[in-house]
Amino acid sequence: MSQPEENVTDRTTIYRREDTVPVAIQEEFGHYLVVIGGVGLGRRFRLDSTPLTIGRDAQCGLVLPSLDVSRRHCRVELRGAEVIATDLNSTNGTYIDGNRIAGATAVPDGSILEIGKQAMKHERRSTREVQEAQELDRDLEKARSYVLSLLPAPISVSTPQAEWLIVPSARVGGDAFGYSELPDDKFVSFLFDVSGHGIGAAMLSVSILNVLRQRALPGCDFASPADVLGRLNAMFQMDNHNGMFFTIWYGVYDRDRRKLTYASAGHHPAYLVSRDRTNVIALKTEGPLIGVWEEFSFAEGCADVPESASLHLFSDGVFEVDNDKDRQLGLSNLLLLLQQPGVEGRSEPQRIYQSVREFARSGPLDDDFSYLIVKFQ
Amino acid sequence: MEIEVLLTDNIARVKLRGRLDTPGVDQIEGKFTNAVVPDGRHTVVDLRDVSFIASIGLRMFIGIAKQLRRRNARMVLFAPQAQVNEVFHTVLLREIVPIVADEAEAMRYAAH
Repeated sequence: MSQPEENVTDRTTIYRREDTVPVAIQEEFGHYLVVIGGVGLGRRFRLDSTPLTIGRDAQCGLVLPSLDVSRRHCRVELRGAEVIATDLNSTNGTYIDGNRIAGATAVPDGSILEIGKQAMKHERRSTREVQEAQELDRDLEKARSYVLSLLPAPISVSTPQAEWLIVPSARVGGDAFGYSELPDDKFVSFLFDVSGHGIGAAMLSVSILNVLRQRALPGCDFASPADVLGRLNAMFQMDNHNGMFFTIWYGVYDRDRRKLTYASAGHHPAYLVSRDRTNVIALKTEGPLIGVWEEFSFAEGCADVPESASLHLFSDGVFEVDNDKDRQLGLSNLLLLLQQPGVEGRSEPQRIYQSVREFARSGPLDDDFSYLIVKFQ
Repeated sequence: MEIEVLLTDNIARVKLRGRLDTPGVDQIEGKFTNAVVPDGRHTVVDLRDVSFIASIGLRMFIGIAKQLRRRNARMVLFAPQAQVNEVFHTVLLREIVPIVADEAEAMRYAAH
């Protein structure tokens, strides 16, 4: 700054800023491997001229404790402006975009490097972009944690019992579910799925979940699935919620009569599975997506609940899963999984998830995996 | 995801190719909307080469159909693949956007 001028008639002091020439800001770019599947999802490894050795051995720069990874599996390094991957005579090979490599091979920007079930994407990014991405990841993680904190604890002592598993996708989704006691010895369970992903879907998901948890639908009979869906539809019109809508399955179990009354809106069926798993009954009513029609009279269905049967509720992220040949698992194959015997020491939702995970291509699932099982006495 | 739009008279013929998942919809939604909504064109959409639709894809169709309806125009979808049609059936999309078997039927529907 220049020296201040002093005005002798008053005490105003004027500072003038010297002209400055704007300096072009040079952005610094780096090459990163971003984990998109396997251990350390979302982690970023910045590459430089020092080779990064990847393998099962504890001495490796990136340790992958999996039997399908060799002790010293491959090496990745930056040579000039190129990222080069070299397979180190591994048993199961190193792949770039699905092609097994031999010798030193370039990994272009955007390509996916696969080692066993570990998938990492090469990204060339500026420091600023990486910081912004990390900030977004933190915000998404907070949104995801908040939604998870609103889900009810599993029930293992009283009946019905409830167990569940939710595995969020890389982009936070809008799945949520709940269950609780109602007056007159009834038990409600529900699962819904908001369209799209990201913070917006998560925010709407929280609104819906809180309305149902707090029973904040004026005049509503929460023991009537059709009434609940009708009032949710009126409250959550998509034109008032940034174009978002949702699907839902809602059911009320009457312990005295051993009957399950249910209604669904744009949602695939829930399934009532017999104790010996030989009988699987689809439970669904016809109804449009919630929030799309201004008014709709939802119908209810009713089913008898056999002794020790269980109700399986899940999101479409459970079965709309592709393998590495772009073939979708599909609902019919999922139903075959439902009927397979349980695994000692593993909950049923975990067993289903493991089977889906083994079918799916490497990398994160495209959508949230949400699975709820209610077991009746 | 790819999109082709052919404008004839007051009808837009839209062909989509690929997956209507989040990245796919991000790629085409703006072009799709701008091609048909401002002029209020009746729109027929060829789904023969769409292999997958997520809720974001449904949202795109519903959003555009509603905007067209406000301009007294309609959108008709035709020839969805089995897996896509199953999703349409589950969500009762036909109650909002007509879904027919082939282009000829779609053109007749749009013209009425």
